[in-house]
Amino acid sequence: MSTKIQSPTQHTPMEAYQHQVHHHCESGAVANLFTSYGLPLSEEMVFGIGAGLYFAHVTFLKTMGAPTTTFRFFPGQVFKTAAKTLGVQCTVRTYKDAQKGMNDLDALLAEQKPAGLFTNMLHLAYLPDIFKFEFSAHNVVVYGKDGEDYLVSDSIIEFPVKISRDALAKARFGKGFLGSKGRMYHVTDFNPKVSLAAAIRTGIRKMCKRMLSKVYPWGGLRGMRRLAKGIGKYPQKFSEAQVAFYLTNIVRMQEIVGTGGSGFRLIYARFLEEAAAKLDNPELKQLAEELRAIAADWRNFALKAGKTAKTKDEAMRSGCAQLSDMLAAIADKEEQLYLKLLKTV
Amino acid sequence: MTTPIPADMLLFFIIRMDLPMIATLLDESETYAGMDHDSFLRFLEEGFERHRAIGDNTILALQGKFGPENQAGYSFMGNKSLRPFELVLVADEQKMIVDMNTDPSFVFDENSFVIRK
Repeated sequence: MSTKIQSPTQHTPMEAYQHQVHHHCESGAVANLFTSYGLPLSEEMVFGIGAGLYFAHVTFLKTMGAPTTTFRFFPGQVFKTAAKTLGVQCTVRTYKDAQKGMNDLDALLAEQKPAGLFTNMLHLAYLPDIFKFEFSAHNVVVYGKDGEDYLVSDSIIEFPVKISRDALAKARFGKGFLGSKGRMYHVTDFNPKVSLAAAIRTGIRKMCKRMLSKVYPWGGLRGMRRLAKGIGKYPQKFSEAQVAFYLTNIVRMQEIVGTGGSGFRLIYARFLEEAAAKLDNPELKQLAEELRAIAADWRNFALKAGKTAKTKDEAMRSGCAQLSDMLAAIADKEEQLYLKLLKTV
Repeated sequence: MTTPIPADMLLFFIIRMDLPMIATLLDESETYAGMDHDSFLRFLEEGFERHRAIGDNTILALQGKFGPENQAGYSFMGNKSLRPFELVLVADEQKMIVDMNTDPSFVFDENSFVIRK
């Protein structure tokens, strides 16, 4: 049965907006935003329906000097997929003119509508310097104004923050990798024919197919196996310092960059558990447990990679060989999981 | 300490109170904040336990100044209790931690944002 997924509310989205802390900026911002517009969703639900789980290891694209490793799909796609799958109609705008972008934000806020924004982390004044780096797709929600200052909800920060118009404009329009062009989005309507259950199934199918796809050698399970082989050859191909740097960067991307630990696998396991309850499907609950076990393997992989990065000579060669085996085994387990998930939904 | 540590990683693992991952960043032959490797890990473990016991589930990392020359550094407080965690980290321009101490003179910066509880 299809039901309208929006809950009736007496409050404007701005009145209803609540800052909730999450692990990942995009799914966190979208969860907070959609919830304020009357569609209460957890971060996990947004991430799962948005088919956020992924893996890619791209040697020809460097991040901080090392091959790019990511455990989630492209920035912006979780929002786009979640909104489309849930039938949430959103207006998304980008700007050439920063003043127009800021004026449009003011107009939305005047209508009591919070807005999601892409910002550049390098220019977010409230972040500690250590966490500032060039990334123009960091999602925040602006949910009001206090005089000329903006009330900003950054879901990876404990408390809402208040920043000036100039500072927000700089963060929205600062040039950088993945240049955001002041991207701004807000909810305009909900499709009454879409059900949450259907959206969950669609999100799971989409993620599984993407992970199982053999189109890109650097993506999905193929990418994991490629990296597994690559790590085994690191000691022959690179200096010890480079090996240490590359391994450390994989750990950084897996454990730190908004993943909630274990490369988003824990977030996705919680999504499957929530989905099991919503769909009344005990098999999904079982598969959530399997993914938790895989997340523990990822965690052990990160611990081993961190330790191996500190070693030299034979210890480093042996460590890389073990890491290669660990990652290949994780890929095998994930493959089985995705095949079972596809059958289940 | 003589071997620099990636600052973002150490700060983040402290924020998450993730002792095993912190241990991967440390060298067993080094001293940290005037403590040997094992004592430093115990110091962190006891600190994390203290904060968990008063309801904190993460530690906030914030900038500030310490010492007679107002040196810039990072220190920590519980996310719920807002009680300080007395460890000070100093990072260089390459975002590597180059010094650690427990200087009690550390004062958090007046933040450019309002903390709303």
